[in-house]
Order: sequence, then C-alpha cells, then structure tokens
Amino acid sequence: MTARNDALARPRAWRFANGEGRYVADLGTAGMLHAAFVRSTQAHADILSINCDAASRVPGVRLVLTGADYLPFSDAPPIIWDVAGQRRSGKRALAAGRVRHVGEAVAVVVADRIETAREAAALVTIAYAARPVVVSMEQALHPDAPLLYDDWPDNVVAQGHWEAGDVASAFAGAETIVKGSYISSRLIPLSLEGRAVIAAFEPSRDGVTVTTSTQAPHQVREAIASCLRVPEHAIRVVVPDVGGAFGLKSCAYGEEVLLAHLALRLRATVRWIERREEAFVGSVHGRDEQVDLELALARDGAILGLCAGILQDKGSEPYATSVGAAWAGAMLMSSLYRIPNIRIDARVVVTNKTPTGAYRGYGVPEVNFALERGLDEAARVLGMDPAEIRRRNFVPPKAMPYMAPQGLVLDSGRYADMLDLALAGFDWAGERQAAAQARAEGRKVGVGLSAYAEPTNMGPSKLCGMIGINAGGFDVANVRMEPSGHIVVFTGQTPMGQGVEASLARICAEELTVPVEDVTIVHGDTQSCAYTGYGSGGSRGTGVGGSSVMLAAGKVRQKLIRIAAHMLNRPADTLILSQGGVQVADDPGQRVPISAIARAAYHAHDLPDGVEPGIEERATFDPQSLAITYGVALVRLEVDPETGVVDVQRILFGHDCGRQISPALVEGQVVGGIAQGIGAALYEEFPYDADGRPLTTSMRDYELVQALDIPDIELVHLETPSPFFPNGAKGVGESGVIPTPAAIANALRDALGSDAPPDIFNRVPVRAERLIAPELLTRFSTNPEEPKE
Amino acid sequence: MTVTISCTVNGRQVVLETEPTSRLSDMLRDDLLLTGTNIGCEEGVCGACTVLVDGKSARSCLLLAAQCEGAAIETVEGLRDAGAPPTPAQAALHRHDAFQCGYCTSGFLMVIEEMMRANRVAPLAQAEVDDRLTSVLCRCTGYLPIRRAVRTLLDGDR
Amino acid sequence: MSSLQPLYLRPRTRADLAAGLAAHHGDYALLAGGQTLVPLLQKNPGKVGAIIDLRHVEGLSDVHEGDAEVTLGAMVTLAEAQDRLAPIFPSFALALAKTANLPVRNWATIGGSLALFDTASEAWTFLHAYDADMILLGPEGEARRPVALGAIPPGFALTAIAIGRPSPGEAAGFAEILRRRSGGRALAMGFARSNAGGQVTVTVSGSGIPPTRLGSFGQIAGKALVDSISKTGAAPAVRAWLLAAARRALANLTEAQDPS
Repeated sequence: MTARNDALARPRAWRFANGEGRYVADLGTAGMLHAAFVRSTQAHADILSINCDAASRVPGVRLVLTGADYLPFSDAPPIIWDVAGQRRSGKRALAAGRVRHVGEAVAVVVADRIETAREAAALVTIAYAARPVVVSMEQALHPDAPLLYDDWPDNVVAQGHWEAGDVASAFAGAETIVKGSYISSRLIPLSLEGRAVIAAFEPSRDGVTVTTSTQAPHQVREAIASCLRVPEHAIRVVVPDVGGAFGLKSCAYGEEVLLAHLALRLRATVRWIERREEAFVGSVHGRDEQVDLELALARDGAILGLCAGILQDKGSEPYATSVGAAWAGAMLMSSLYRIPNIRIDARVVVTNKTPTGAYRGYGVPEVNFALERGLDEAARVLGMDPAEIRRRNFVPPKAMPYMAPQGLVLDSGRYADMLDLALAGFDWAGERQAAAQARAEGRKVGVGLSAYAEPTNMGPSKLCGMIGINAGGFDVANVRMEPSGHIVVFTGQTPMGQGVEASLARICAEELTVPVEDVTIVHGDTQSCAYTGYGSGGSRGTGVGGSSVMLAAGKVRQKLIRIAAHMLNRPADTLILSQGGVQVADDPGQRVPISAIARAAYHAHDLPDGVEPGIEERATFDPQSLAITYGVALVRLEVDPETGVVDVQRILFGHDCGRQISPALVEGQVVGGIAQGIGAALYEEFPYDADGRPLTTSMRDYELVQALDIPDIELVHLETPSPFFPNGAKGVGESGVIPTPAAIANALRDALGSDAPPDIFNRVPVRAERLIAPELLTRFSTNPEEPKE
Repeated sequence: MTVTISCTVNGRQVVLETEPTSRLSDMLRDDLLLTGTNIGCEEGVCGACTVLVDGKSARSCLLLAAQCEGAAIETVEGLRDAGAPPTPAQAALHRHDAFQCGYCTSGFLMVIEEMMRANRVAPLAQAEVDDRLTSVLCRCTGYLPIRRAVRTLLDGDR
Repeated sequence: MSSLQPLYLRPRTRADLAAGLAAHHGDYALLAGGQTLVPLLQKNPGKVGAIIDLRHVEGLSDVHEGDAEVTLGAMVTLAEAQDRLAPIFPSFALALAKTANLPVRNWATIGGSLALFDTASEAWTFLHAYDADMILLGPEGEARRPVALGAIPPGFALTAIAIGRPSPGEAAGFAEILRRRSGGRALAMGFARSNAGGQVTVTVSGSGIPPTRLGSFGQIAGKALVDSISKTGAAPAVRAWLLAAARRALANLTEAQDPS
C-alpha cells in the first residue's frame, strides 16, 4: 500500500481520536434500570420449570420475566428474506417451553443496578428435560433426525431450485468434469462493540425511545411496532456511534423488542449491554455453508455447465435473514462467467446452534470459494494457467448488461482488463516461476488467485419483491439549507465505521459546489431521518443512499438558481452554480453567494412567484438494477511443512467499484475486508461439540487476526461507472472478504503440489493441522511401546 | 464492604469508594464518566480498554480498582487538554485513516503513547514496535493504516 | 450495593499475610497482578470471602541473585523478569517476550502465572525445565516445593521462585511454534539445555500438553526425540508441533554454543 496525500477522508471522525466516540454503553441516565439475561445451558431441551423466587427476592430487582410470561405481549418478529413456502420458528426474545441452542435467552431480570441484575439472574433455576441434539447439517437432514420444530415435517426451512439451459447435455459433452464439496465453516462476525440497547419510556407520546447499536434503525422500529402492536410513530430508534457491525447488526433482534416492552411496561429507562461471552452465543453467527459443485468443461477451458447444491446451516431458527445468504449465493453462483447451462439447488436447515444471520459477504464468499476452487482444479486437470481459465470464461463488456441464466444481471465491468492489470502488478508469471523454483528446492511456496463479483447497491424495490425481500430497495434523502447557507442532509443510512457519512457529505458538497465542511449529515434517528427500505447493508450506502442525496441536492441547486435569477434579474438559464455562489455563466462579476440566497429564501420578503420560503428538498432513489463490483485477489504464501503454519507473504487486490467517491474510504473497506478474509481462510472457526456446546466463548480461543498477520497489500483499480446510478458509484463494503479465502486456498494447493489431496483445501479455515506433511505425522509410533520404525 | 481508593487520574487527585471486585475500567467509566476507555472483551484480549498506570500500559478490565491505590492513571481523555491541538499520534491516526468505527482507537492511542515515551529514551526496534501493536485488536482497518501511521510517527519523533 | 462482595485485605507484612490466610480457611483469592484472577472474579462474584492483595506485602517484588540460585519474588512482573533475567537466562527472556502482550506482561506476575496453574505458559514451562522451586508461606512458615509438583496446596501463599543458576558451560535454547506471526496461544514451545558434559534435555509444552521433559539425550538423536514425543499421547498434529519446537530449541542451543 502506498501512502496517500489527499485531504482527510473523514473530517468529522476526529472524535474517535479524542476518545469522544459515543457508543450506547457510554450513554444512559441516572436512575435507569439494568437488564441481564438468563441463557440456556442446553442445546435442545424442554423447559420443565423455571424458578424465579430467589431472584425476585434479591433487593433491587424490579422484574423477572420468563418466556411464558412474555409470550402474550409479543407477536413473532418479521422475516426480512421471506420466500414462498418457507417455515417460521415464531421465536420471541425469550424461549417459551423449549430451548434450541446454548445461549438462547430464557428469562430476563431487571434491577436497579447491573450487578444486582446479574447476581439475580444467576439465581434463576431452570429444570430441563434434554432432547436429542442436531449439530450438523448432515444430522439435520437424516430421515430419522429429531425435529427442532414439531409442526415442521423436517428440519428444512426452505429449498430453492434454479435451472436454465440443458445441463445434462452440457455434462455429457464435457471434456472433463470437476467435482468438489466446498465448506465455509461457521464463524462469528465479532464487532468489538457488542450489541447494546437503552429503551426509555417517553411519557410525551406514550411511547419509547430505543437507543441501539444497529445498521438499520427503521427496520428495528418496524420490528418493535409489529411485535408489540405499538404504532410506529410512538417508537423512536436512535443510533449513536456503532463500534463495528459487519452484518451482525443488520436486522432487528429479539432483545431490542423486549427492551422496548420492558420500558413501556415499567414506564422506565432500561439498559442492556451485551457481554462478550453472551455475544459469542447470543449474536448471530456467519457462514456455515457447504457448496457441492460440479463443473463441466470443454478442452479449451470453457465452462459448459454448472451444477451446484447449496446447503446452509441456519442454526436454531430462520431468524430475520432466513434463507437470504443461500439465495444470494445462488444468484451469484455464476460470478463473472458466462455459463450457459446451470442447475442450482439450495437447502437451508435448522440445527441446535446459534442462528446464522448476515455476515459481511452474505452468501457470496461461500459460492466464490466453491467456484474459484473448482476452476483452479479444472485448470490443473486441463493443464491451463489458472488465470487463463478465468479469462476464457469472463462475460465481455460488449455483452453487458448481461443476464445470467439464474437471473443475475452483470451491469458493467471490464473483467479481462482487470485481470491483466492485476497479473501485471503482481508479476504473476514471475511469481509462478519463482514459486516453482522454490518448490524444486524443497520449500512449500505457492501462488493463487481468485476473481469475484460483489452484488452492491441493494435494490431495486421491484427486485426485492421478486426475490422475497420483505422491504423496499429505495432510499430517501432530505437536504435542508439553513438560513446561513450551511447544508444539513438527513439520511436513513447508518455509519458503522465505513464512513458513509463522509461519502454522502462529499456527494452533496460536489453537487452544490461548496466545501465539504459546509455539509452536516444527520443519521441514526427515525424521528428526523428519512425512511430507508433496507438500511445500511448490501453495500448500498454510497450508491443508493448517495444517489438520493445527489438528487435532493440537485433540487436544492435548482431552487438556488431560481431565487438567484430573481435577485440578479437575469434569466435562470444563463446562470450556473459555481464555487458556492450563483453567477452569470459568462460574467463572474454578476454573482450572489449561496449564503445570501439562503437568507433571502428564509426572509421571503421578495421571492419569485411560486417559490416557497425556505430551502428543504426531498428525493427518493430506487435503482433500476444492482451494481456488480468485481475484481481479483492474488496471493503468495509459504507453508512450513513441519508445522503446517502458513505465512501469507503478499497480496495484490484489483477491484472496480465504479466511480470512487472517496478513494481513501474505498481502500479502507477493501483492506479491512481482506483482513477478515485472511482470518476466515486460515484461522477463524466456531466449533461445537457433539452435545451442541460451543467449544469456546472466549476471545482467547477464537483467533482473530492481529497487526502482524496482514502482509503488505497492494491495490490496483479500474473505475467503470455503473450506468444505472447517477453518481456511477458501486458498493465496496464486502469486496475484500469475498475472494481472499479462495485465493489463499488456491495458493496453498499450489504450495503443497499435486501430491496433496485436494480435499484439504476445500474447507476454510485451512488450519495448520491439515497442512503438516503426512510423512512427518506417520513417523510417530501409534503405540509408544511398539515403535513402527 | 467498600474499599477507599486514592489515586490520580489524568493528573487530578481522585478519592472514591468502590466495591472490592470493581475493576479499573468500571471506576473510569461508571464513577468518573471517562467513557473514552471502551470495553470489548472483559478478559484482556482485545485491548480496547488499555490505559496507562504509573506510565505502564495496562488492561483496565484486568485490574481491580482497589489495586490502583496510590497509582497515576492516564486515559485517552488525558492525552491533551480541552481545546489544545491534537497530539501527533492523534493527528497521524486520523490522517492515515487508522480507525473506522473508533472502538479500538483509545487502546491504540495509549499503547502508542507508551511507545513514543520509550522511543524517546531509546529508539525502539521495528520488532518491538510490531510486538506492541499486536496488543490491540482492530476489526475494521486491517491494521495496515495503523502500522503506517505509527511508522511515520516514530520516524518523525526521532 | 451488592450483597455478595468479598472483604478486601491489604496486608503489609508477611505476618499479616499469614494471619489473613489463616483467618479465611481457604475462602480467599490471592491477588497478585490480577491478569487472570480479575475475569474469574467477574464470572463468579461472591464465590470468595476475601481478596488478599499481595501488592503491599514487603519484599514480594524483590529479585535476589545468589551464588547458587536466583530468587524471584512472586510479585515480580513478567516484564520485570524479562529485563532482570536476560543476562542469566536469555532463553527465558526470549520466551517472556512471546508471552501475552506488553500491557499484560506489565502487570502479570510470576507468582500469579504459577498460582493459577496455567501450565501451558512460557513461565511454567521454563521453570519446569530448570527444576525451579516454589517458596511458599504457610501455617508452619516457609516451605519449598518443586514447580514440577503442580498446584499450590490450600492455606499456602507463593512468595518467591528459586531457580538454580546455570552451571559453567551450560547452553540454552528456546523455540515456540505460533499459528500466527502476531502470536496468540502457542501451538508448542520447547526449552533445551545442555551441560558442559554434552548432556542435553528438552522440555516441551503446548496445545494442552503440560510441560514434559523429553528425557536426556547423549546427543541430539532424531529417533529418540520422536519416540519420546510419541509417549505424550498428543494428537498427531500436536506431536508434530512439539517435535518442531524441540528440534528448533535444540538448533538454537547449538547456535548459542557456537557463536560463529
């Protein structure tokens, strides 16, 4: 990476360097109450009885509530990704009658001090009758599997089928067929700030203000309104600074609904701060998906057909995201490639583990891992350069917009140009040769690559409806110019570190030709901010949210020109907005600054006919299409054959996210994503034992990457504007995390050579345990008394 | 029972009563309302809550408040006076986009402060700098901007 | 105010400490650096009757370099030990530099590491390799107990560790296998020692295997090493890591003996 010298990417982020970020746990009021949860220690059991007597008697305890107590007060929460025929759990914030994963909330204690609430929670005793536990998808799908839900015929949430072309003929006529099962293990998104909620009763509107760490304040408001049967206007959701989210805070949680209930019920302020050990089992997990892939290829490497079976483990319930990741994966299965014959089956199952939700990448890294590992094996079988087999199959720019057989639309992009740029930057040929040379000398050095597609700018509303998303895909912006000329933008987008507020400010400032300091972004408040269909997820903040800001700012510009025309007594079509003022296009001497126009608009002493006083404009943007960001990751690494330890030495990442509104923020998103991709490829895994107990709830054992685990990363990019967005921008939030696991696995495959069984690279993380040279393992005697040698 | 603690926090004398199992992080955040010190894991792994105690970096979630009797405690709020310009470390982190969500930033700033002081006494080897940076977890930036900021900072400080 | 809070004692003398131990009949937690104890107290508030803070007890932070042995007070932090012991036990200083991270080493103590029985730690493995003794304060006064015997009996407080000085001509080597460059929990570590007579011992630990001395080797024999690691009963990958740690510790030993 090279240092940049441009202006500060996020001028308003100073507060973080001062320790002045304000997260939910930093807020609160004197006299507020505190909530602590009692969580299940059982993976699958009936609740025989709950004894709350001791807890209720602790001085300072205000309320102890069980699932049975709460049930009449709450309806089942809404499902965001709601496909036809899918099954529902009906689960509320507290389990009623039965628990289905370790960590499921069973009761809540509210007390005047947090210590008291926790101590009392420890005194709640629960009698369980254990049920047989389902911990794997294989077990869940077994014909005799115990059922998680008695009213379901099996453990399947939903299944989907997509087929186009003539798959059977494609496979019959293939030169070679490559098959594999590719597994992305269960992991946890782990934001450093856990979840946190403060719900405050509001006597003025007989409602509640819920301050919460979320990516989607409007969706949280909808969930509370619908579950508690409270009108939306009585609920205000406020989001202060968010200490990381990565998808895990993209949908409403039961706790947010329950805290609102507690505040309304007790007519008080109640706070809950998730503890880390609680977060491990109570916040949604990610991945846990298997993709069984078959590719039919011609002699020249052309992909003739693809068959894929996507199997996703939802944990104990569909949760708000339901089948979304699997369905999104099915859409993205063909990635950047022209594959004429496709059959995809997706099945989503429940098991006795924490629910999986949205984690950065949302179904796309899983299918990317399968396809890009499969293509690498195909290149190996056909004796092709792995880069060439990709190039051979790219959809060319002249074919765009291109609709893949299963429905994905590739809007724009120069895939081969990107590949060439990245190969040249990496010196792919030279690196391949050097790695081969090192291997000839006995070292285990490898290089690998992976191309990727990232669906961004989540929308349009019509597509959301078609694919079962229970929300619109549009965004709204309100832009208000104050009498001083300062501009305030109200958005439904939520910053969580990605810097969307800075991008929106920049878009607005450019449109109105003012310095970015003259724009303030107001976000995270359902009472003042515009509604958004989908919140901040699906990498849509800049493309969709930003487009609505651009359109609203454009309306402000029109109004400024109209008032200025009156002030300058010149026709509007002779005027332009430039550098913070309106002037006659060919005579800069005749000019009126924005501040004077704004003042005139608010005085309203002398406005042109038909112009309303004040300056406040609203615009909605509903995209015509998704925008597909794309790119390629290249990796060089070395394996220590004695220990299996992997040293990732070099990564070059090429990407194209259309027009880059804030290059520094784009770089931050890409590099941060790559770091999480390295973790997923080599280290991160959240395993359970056979009884459904998590093997760790500690950050000591859940290995996240740290400062020295990230090699130097070189970035190259193209900017191919998306034709469907006024500002040309595509999203970038998930880029880095998508191709990195496959690129690393392919490099490991290269390092260990043809002798290694390919299966060991087909499951991420590829832990050191699997990479130790087998001949080193077999020399240990299995029976110490009788050495083999 | 409660324990009486007398110490200094960011140079100001503090005397307060606390419970024996109350942690330094609890005292800073709940009693003194110094919420710049963030809690990430409560077991000393993530480093978000790192402060300086008697000039040495410490996980404030791994010390009892009562252990800090007589100690000099420094937090992110004490790095500069109100209204004063940002410290070089604060400016460097901002310039290099070395934070996104900001949750780990206070921890990094305190580790960097300790590093800068040591570096003034005797320049730190790169390996030592690297080792110290592994003591705080960041989930957003991928660390490269942080490493870059610290490198320029230490080079400029020599 | 919580109902379950323990007493907090700050003894100043060893006599006060002994009296505190006796008064609470095992229902106490000894607080050294706090780095392991504090999270335990959070998880189980009210599980102990008293917290006995060792910080103010005289002499527990002393380092004494005697002719035959070096004595480290229980309250010596890992960071201080790293500095103070580097000239005498360079391999220990190297190992401590890999332990946790600086903010933890600044406060974690030698005594705390041993008392809370973290056998996978670098400190425990080193002390095992060097046949160190724990010096305990109990009802009958001071007592010595080899580190290798394991946990401290109830009613006793660890006040110091005594480590025999290396004999003339002795060399040492340390190696650690880490999954990631940044560290994290070690997969395996090894301490090698050789005396002037060429006798070599290697002590390894990691991945759930407590410190294990892999016998003595007249010379560095691959097969003997492999066989003794087989006897640990560790999983195959762990055996490979232990072996690699042992071999690398031995390799470092060789380097130490031969400065060229």
